[in-house]
Amino acid sequence: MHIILSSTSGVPLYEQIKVQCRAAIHGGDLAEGDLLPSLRQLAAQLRVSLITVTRAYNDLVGEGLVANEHGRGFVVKPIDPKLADAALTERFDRAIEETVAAARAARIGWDVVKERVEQQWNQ
Amino acid sequence: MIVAFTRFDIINFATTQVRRVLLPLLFVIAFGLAVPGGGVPVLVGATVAVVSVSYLFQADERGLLDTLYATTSVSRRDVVIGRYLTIIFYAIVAAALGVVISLVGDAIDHHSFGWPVLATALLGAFVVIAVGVSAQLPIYFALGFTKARPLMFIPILLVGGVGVVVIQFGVLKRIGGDIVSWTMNNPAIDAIGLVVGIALLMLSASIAVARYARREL
Amino acid sequence: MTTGDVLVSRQLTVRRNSFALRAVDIRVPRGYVTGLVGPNGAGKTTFLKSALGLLAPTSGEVTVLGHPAGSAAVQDRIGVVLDRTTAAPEWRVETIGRRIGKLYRRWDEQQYRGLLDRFDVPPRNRVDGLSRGQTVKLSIAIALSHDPEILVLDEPTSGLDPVARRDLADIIREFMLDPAHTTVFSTHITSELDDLADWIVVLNSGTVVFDGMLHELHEKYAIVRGAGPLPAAARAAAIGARFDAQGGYEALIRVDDTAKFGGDVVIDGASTDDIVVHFAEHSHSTSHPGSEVAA
Repeated sequence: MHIILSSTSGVPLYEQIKVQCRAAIHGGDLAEGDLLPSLRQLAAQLRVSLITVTRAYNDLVGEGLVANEHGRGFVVKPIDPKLADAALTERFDRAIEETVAAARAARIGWDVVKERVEQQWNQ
Repeated sequence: MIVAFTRFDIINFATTQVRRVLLPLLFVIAFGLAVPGGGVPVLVGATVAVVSVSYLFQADERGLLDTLYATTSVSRRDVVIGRYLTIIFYAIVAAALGVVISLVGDAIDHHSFGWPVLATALLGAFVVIAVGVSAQLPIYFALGFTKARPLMFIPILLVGGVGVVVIQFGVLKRIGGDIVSWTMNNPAIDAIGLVVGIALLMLSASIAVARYARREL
Repeated sequence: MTTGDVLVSRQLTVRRNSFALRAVDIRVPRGYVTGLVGPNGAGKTTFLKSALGLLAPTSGEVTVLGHPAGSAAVQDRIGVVLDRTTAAPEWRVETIGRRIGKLYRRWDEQQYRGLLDRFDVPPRNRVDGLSRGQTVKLSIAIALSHDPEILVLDEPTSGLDPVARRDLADIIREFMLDPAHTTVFSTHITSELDDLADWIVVLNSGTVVFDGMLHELHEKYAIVRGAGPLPAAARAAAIGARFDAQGGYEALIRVDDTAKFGGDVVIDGASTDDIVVHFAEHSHSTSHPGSEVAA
């Protein structure tokens, strides 16, 4: 799981960490039973304060995505397939929105869009 | 941690102020060879050691070493006692050098001033060290080098001046013999002198410990 | 005072000519990075020196790891980095460990040499032949080589370029990988706190203005800007108010007091800088009435 933070996006750092962890879990990068990086390791790696990571992890625990196991750390809980699907579908919808907006900005017509999508699908 | 600190202190003095360590010792040698006079080099050795006290405190101030010591496992009390030991050690080295040079001087001159003279000189050296160290260290520890230094000027000049006068005008030559017989014939006085000297040092050290404990570092 | 605090001050008062610290109660929790922030003269250095036993309180007390501040029992469990180097100018860097190692209970010479190497401090140089950044790194190398539990740094980044500052932050983060370790540092550069500090203590004129988690500070305060005039009911709520020639104002306020200012104002988030500056301005103008700054 690679987390990349933006200091200028206006989104609080702990929120960004949460979002990316969630995406990694729902997207399958992290499987049930996998360990999240330790609080301190992640804080040092991302160059943020320990509290920031702690908040993000605690929120994920609150959402039921991970559990804090004594002696082991933060473990990914069984993934609710409905939630995972919903998250992935949302990701798909967002991608569609961006594609359409990008096409319009570049004045690319519907036919070309169809063509390119088919190309990509068949790769 | 007293020993650890004393060892550090002596090595620090010897390696960072080589000239200030050696020149006084060379002076003792030079003096002893140039002005033969029984046990006088021993007294000179004691005097130069006493005068060198300020260099140790000056070095502490330059490197903010007092602050460093305060952040180690060495208590402030151990720093004080350790410093006393450092100076006494240096004084012993200087006095011992004085003894050696006296004996060498004797041999060169084919004189034999004898042990009584040397013993008296050693007693005198002890008095010089006890008084000189007891007087200076509490002030240096209480105030630090820069603030203490102006106060030191006068007594050092005094002691040094007296020393120079005494030697220049051969005072010692005249009354030296009397002093030697006096000390040799009165062992009780000698013992009292030693005890008083030691008591002085201990009193001085306890004052220094108390003052240093309250100083901002 | 919970057992999770490594450093606790109780009604600590330090007075020189004026009060440097007034009856402050500060606690530093174990396992976190605590930042002490405030303008120059706020009392940060005085507090740290009291905690290190370098100066004696006028009244009150400081305990470190359960012992009185300055006790030889705890001193070597604290790694100290002050803003001036405590080493003789003539000492050669590589000899420092051999010189002072025995003054600590646990000195690791190999670790010392290793750190000098990692931090790129030239071992054969004399202390007075090092750059500012190198002397700070030397101080840290020394501080870390006697196995401390607590790292105390007083204005460690003053005079450091951004690269050196980043290096210093990384060194602290590495130290903090051990959950038994604690760091407390003082700074007047508030941007450093945002990445590093978990807990923050804001000092102003010898008193604690805020003490808690960094994000709580930002949730508690806001900046209000209005075209003026400042409503009378809101005067007391305005901290360090600055006025412009047209009567417009800008002030720091508690988020709870927002309603007092009416609807015709702009409310913005307050950065740590805003908070420090406005509190400083506030205490200045309360002691010098009529001198409010033109915004």
